[in-house]
Amino acid sequence: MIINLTQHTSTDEQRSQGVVDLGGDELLSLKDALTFDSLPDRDEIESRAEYIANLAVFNGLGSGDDDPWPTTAMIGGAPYLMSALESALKAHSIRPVYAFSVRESEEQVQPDGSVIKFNKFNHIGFVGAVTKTNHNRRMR
Amino acid sequence: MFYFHGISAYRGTRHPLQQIVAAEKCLSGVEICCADRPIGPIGITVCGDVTGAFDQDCWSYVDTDGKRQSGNDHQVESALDAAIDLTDAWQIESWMKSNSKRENHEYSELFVRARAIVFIWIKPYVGNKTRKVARILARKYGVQVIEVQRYTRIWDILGSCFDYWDLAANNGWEEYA
Repeated sequence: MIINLTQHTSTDEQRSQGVVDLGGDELLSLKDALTFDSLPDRDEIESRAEYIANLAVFNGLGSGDDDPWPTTAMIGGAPYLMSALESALKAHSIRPVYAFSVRESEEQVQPDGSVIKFNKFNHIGFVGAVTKTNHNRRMR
Repeated sequence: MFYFHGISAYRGTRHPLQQIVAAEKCLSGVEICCADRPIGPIGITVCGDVTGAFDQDCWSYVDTDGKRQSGNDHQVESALDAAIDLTDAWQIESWMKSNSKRENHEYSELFVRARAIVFIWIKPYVGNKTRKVARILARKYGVQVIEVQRYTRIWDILGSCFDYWDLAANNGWEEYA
């Protein structure tokens, strides 16, 4: 199960690959946590990341006494949050991934000469978060 | 001395995510309500500075800024009558032992500024979600989860589950042991 931790509803292609959207209060909480109205400091970013990671496991998608523990989370949002969110998810043994899509653009010339551009994003797959090990730091 | 604090014993802290946030807030320097027995389904056991002692139930609430505040002035006033030194862990422990009567369900409560979480506790009846909260908190704070009974007292745990002198020494909590 790939839990959708972005602000956006998943596409049909994503759902066919196992993406599940949050709903109800959990979705509202996610949107709140992903939205920054003022300049965040480090504590705020770490706190939000941890909250979202906990939301992934208390996702409200369970039918009984517990919610399913997702193996993977599709993430996206403010770039300054993503690194902390990747770490928080990994601490829960959840693999963070990013959606990869290809944009198809089409331009239509209107009768008045203006041009309207349409963009369609086709989901191709997922890219796992990459943690680069800095080998140079270990070498003296 | 260590003290039980229930993180799901308050209005607004029933959801698992709220329980996790409640545990975090306990270490933010606010005064939290503690007791010598576990109240509610899940909680933390803390060490810290005792700022008030009560011979009966007292309560706190979360204000509009999200800070936990003490309530019930009458009980706060009555607590001031308790002539114990709140900086002396031995006095607090013996006062709690004399004040707590299992057969009458009576227990002592304290206001504590928590310095560290010593372990996570849960009641045997809790469901999987609450157990999951306990595991997440335990991993976050690097402590154990201990199952406690309704009438367990803190000194029962400290005597049977682990040597709390060693635990305190290993974690730099000697002044609270």
